[in-house]
This record gives sequence, C-alpha cells and structure tokens, in this order.
Amino acid sequence: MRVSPEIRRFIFHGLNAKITYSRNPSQIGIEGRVIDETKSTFVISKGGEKKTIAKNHTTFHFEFPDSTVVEFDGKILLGRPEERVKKLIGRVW
Amino acid sequence: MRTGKRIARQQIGRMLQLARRTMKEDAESAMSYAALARRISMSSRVPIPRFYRRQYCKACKRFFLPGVNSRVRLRQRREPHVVVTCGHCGKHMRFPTRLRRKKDVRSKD
Repeated sequence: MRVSPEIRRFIFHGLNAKITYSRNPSQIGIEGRVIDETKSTFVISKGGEKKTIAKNHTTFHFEFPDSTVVEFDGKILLGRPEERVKKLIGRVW
Repeated sequence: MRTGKRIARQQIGRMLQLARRTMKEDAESAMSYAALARRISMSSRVPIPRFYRRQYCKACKRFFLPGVNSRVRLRQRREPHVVVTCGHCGKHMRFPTRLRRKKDVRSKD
C-alpha cells in the first residue's frame, strides 16, 4: 500500500492499533482495535475492555488490512474524524 | 477530481462496510459508525452510495439492517413495492420495485 501524506486524513475505526510511546508511561504497550475517536482521544478496545488514549504526546502504530503498519505521531491526528477527512491542520513537515 | 472528496468517499464506504459487518455483535458501535459516515458525507458534501442510502431511517436517521432492527416486506397492491419498518421509531418507508431509469442497478438488499 502506498503511504502518502494524505493518509493522516484516514479514519482508523476498526483498525488494530498499538501505543509505542506515550508521555504517560502506563499507556505504552496498549494494543487493540480502535472503536471510537474524539477530537483529542482514541478509544481502543481489547477483549471488551475499553481504554481512552490521548492523541497528543503519543505515538501510534496502526495496522491496515493489508498488514501495512504505519507509525503516527498523535499530534498530527488531532481533530474530530469528520473534520479530519477534510484538511484540518496545515502542512506538517 | 479533488483528493479531498476522493478520501471522503473512500472513508464513507469503509465505515458503512464496517457498520454492516459489526451490526450483529455490537449494534451500538455499528450505528455510531454509520452515523459518523453520515456526518462525513454532510460535512464534505459527498453523497452516500445509493446502496446504503436505504438503510437509514428517514425519520430518526438511525442505521438498520434487515432482520436485526428492521422489518422488510413485499407488497403487491397498487404497485409492487418494498415496505421497510424501522425498528426504533416504527416509521414505514416504501420503495417501488419497478424503476424505469436506464443506468440503475436494482439493489434491494
């Protein structure tokens, strides 16, 4: 799968996610399926247990259906999902 | 075609597919995915694909799936049509089965 800058406008519901870095050390290593998204958090569920993770100050690994894993700094994913699909934040170098 | 709308269309389709798949296990999440798809469609001005348009109640705007939270019946009187009853608000919706448009695909799933 070609990864282009527009991938940050993707919606991650239903994808498997993993936290690889977080300013909150207890959140590192959490993995599961994304079931909800708000302006500044993701809700990840693993075996029925829901965890709300802040987007800011966190690095995520998302796994796409074709097994491509993409790493994101949560800072560029800020915004409500329906707003993110349109361009929300300006260029991120 | 501008990329903004292409991405929106892609994500709407993905969200609705996901909603259909998870409806049996987790109806609440499935309905929230469909509601999200609807919000994306409204805010980015991209229409929901015709196939999925029939699965929203016109009154309460909730997503439904035949057999799970809606009732689908065929009626022959007047003109052959399909009647779908929303499981939440009880509203009936009618869809004619004989469409005379040329490039139309009849999908009454």
